[in-house]
Amino acid sequence: MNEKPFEKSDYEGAIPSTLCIGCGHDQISRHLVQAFYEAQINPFEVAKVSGIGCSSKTPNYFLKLSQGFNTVHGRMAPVALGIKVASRHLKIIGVSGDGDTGSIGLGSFLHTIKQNIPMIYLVENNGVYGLTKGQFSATAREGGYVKSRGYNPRPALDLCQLALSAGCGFVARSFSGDKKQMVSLLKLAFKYEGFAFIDVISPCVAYGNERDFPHSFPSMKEHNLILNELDIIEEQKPIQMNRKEGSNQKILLPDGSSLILKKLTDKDHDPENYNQALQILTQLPDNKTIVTGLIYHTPKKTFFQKMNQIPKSLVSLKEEDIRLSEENLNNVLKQFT
Amino acid sequence: MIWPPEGTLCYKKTMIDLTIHISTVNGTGSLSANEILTRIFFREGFPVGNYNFFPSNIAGLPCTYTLRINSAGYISYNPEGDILINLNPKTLNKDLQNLKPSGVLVTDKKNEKYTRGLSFKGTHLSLPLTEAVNSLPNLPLRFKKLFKNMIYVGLVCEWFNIPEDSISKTVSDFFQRAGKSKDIAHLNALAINKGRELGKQNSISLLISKDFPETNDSSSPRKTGIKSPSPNLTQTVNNIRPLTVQKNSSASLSKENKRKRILIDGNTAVALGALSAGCQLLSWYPITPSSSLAESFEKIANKYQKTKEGGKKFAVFQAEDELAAIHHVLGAGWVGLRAMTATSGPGLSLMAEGAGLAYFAEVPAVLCDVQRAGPSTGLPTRTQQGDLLSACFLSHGDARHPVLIPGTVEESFSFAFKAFDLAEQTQTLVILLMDLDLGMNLHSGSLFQPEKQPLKRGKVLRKEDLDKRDFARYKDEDKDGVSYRTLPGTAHFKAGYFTRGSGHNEEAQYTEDPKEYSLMLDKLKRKWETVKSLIPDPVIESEAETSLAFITFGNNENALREVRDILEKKEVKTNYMRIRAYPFSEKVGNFLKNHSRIFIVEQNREGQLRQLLNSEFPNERSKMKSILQYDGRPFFVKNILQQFEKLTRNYQ
Repeated sequence: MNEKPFEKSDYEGAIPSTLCIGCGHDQISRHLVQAFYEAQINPFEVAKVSGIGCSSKTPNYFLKLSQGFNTVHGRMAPVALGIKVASRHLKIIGVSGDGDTGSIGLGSFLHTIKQNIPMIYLVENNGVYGLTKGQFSATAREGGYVKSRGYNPRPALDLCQLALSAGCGFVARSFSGDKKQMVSLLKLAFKYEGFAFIDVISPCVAYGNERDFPHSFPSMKEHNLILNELDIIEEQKPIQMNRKEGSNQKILLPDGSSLILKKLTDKDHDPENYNQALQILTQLPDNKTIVTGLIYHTPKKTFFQKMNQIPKSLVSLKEEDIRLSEENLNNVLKQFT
Repeated sequence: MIWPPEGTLCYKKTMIDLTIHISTVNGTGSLSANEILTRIFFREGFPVGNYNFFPSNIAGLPCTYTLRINSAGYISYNPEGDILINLNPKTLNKDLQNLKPSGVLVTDKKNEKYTRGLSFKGTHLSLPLTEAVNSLPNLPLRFKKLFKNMIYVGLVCEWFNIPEDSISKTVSDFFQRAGKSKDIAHLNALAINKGRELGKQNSISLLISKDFPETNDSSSPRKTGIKSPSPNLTQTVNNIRPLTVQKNSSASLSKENKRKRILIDGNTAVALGALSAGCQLLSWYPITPSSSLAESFEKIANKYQKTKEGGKKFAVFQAEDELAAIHHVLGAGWVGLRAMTATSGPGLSLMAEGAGLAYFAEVPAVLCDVQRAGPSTGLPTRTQQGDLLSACFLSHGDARHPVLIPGTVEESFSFAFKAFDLAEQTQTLVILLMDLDLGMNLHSGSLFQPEKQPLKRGKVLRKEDLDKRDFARYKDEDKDGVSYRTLPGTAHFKAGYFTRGSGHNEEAQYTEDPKEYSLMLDKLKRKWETVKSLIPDPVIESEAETSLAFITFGNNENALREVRDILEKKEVKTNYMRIRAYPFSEKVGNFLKNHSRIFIVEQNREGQLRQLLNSEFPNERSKMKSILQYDGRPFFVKNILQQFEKLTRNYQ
């Protein structure tokens, strides 16, 4: 731990937000500040990465002490991978949007999951392309209505379903308007050793906030199906509870702390059960309902473990450790004489 | 440049110029046999050149290997064969068009029904190649197809009187490197012996020395290094058994000298250069002809770049696509790791957006483009130099990148090393421009000399530095266009900034202000001037008093050396410049100024180097004419000479 704890102001952004007043993304930035502050994560050990779009501007609005990289459209994941593989002690918070992840960067999103690169991958999902004036995105629900575009004729991609099928061990969805849920999901993600995916419904007040558009504030107020409440017990002390007890569930976390899940729906969702996770996403009562909460949580071997990478960051090695020695160069060349 | 290179043999009495074409079906194992044959001649001290003309296909299509053995070191691609070994009757008629009328044709007796009634006037040997394989005792069935190739290896070795121990040593070394058992090597050696028996029974008569530039001044150390060539350059060597050539005793190879030469593909040379420079991450997507670069890198790193406990000190990613590969590299480069990607034309196009990000966000990165033929998919297995302009200006806006262009395997190694220093010194993407011929075919060179200097890591501020100074990521403090950077993980409140490819000011803050934005573009222009001072100079040979000059880049030097020597024999003196980098240094401009008839020799249709030179040196524009070849094969001498003669006529 630090000698002096970091102040909340240490986690705030470098500049005030330039997004629209009331934007869901600004709520998310505030939740990020809160979660990082509560978890007292050293901001110097964090790298923020984003793609392109309104979402990807936001790393300027939180964690001013951390280094950030605003990359190009759809490439947040591969840049994040390069950073993490080069410097594994850095904690990566990747911020993307639904266009960035669901369309142009879909391939890399799934493949980075497949590699299980440890990072938090956050999608600020509003169903529309804000910066280019409100075109529907790949995650917009079929039949959703916005004033400027009419009804969306195309079916939606569900990013959580995709993440699950690509083998993601941490899949969650939240709502920018639900501070408590999002902060607790983030704090759980900090503890997860692997690729943690959080899809955050984050309404666009300019182009996607109509009642009949499922990503909007008014729709989420009515149709948010919250699966569970999370409570992380930091210290290892005897909790008077079996693994499953009534509507509560306890999950032990790798650092010795435990997660207490309080279930809130009649579904009795078990986030350690893959089939249930898929079911809860696919069997929706209607086309407006959006499920939020911890959807799937299971330990998986990371890239570093699978590929037998050294425990140190690659970038921390000394010059003599990284250069092919003259002796070994000549050993190779001998084969070509 | 001293020629032939130290360590190669010269022949005093007879000069040899022999081209063997081996025509097979791809996927039948001929590649190994051809490499073994080439290595045998190489180890015997013969300068060898080779080109594998292969299809984009796994098995069943025609494949032609060209091996040129030339005692003077003229080893560029020769489309005209002295010997044709044809194991693929389907292509026989076409192959014969490339065999000299006086040449030797070898076919398999098994294919006699196809070869009956051939109108070929030269020597035709229909030899029992398949039969020879079948006569090998206890040979598993699956080897039979493969071993037919070893028969012709033995045949040719016998004709050249190669000692048996040289053959068996090369064969065992080859299979050891390939990770195969001693038994396999032994079986192959048996097959080669069968071939030698056939060679003993069927000697050939062949014209093997001709068309050489002649010099009467035996005391002058000419570039060819041949002291007193035979007065009769077109003598026929009868029954090349025993070989009538005599080794020049003064130049005969000591064992030590032999060891100094290597025969290696350029892609492996690049991999070695990168690893010597401390490259720790390579991300790539499979594409011919660059795949072997990534695979060599991984193989060597797996062997030598692990800790005692077996932990990897590097990472190799076979990425989901080239878009991801370049961005993996940018992420790693941003953190301060040396990282690279390797690709070819279509992949280069996909990496264009990332290249622009590297340029404008100023992130060090290395990209090796092994060029192949054509726009679109083109000819994936054929060589060309058609990516020059795309490489220099990859991406949109005003993006431009330093491009290093090796022309030899030694330079493939040293420029790969240099690319990493340059990328970090100037915080930008550096492109290493290879081509299929240099990258995938075997080329001889001297043993690579690794750089002993510490790595040049560029302007990086550590935590301690930030205690004493201010920091603005994109400020041009030193007026050289290169700013200071901090690396992620630097625990200092001044260190953090938000890197971006969008409009930014000196403090890396988003800006759309016209003045602030153009300031950044002007800064990058100053960086370009800094780049000019750090790149390799061109190779220049300008001893002759002449207005005629050749300019080229990449792997055309062997062909041009021969062309220039032939011209010199006809008393046409020429000077020479091989460009090794973009941007161009001052020396390039001076060379242009000093010559009035300049021929730009390159393997593309548009004369891309000529266009670049035209735009950078508009005053010299009218002097420059193109000599081009873009059919997927490397340059050959006749083609250059014909174009040269036509163009010089037009000059008068």
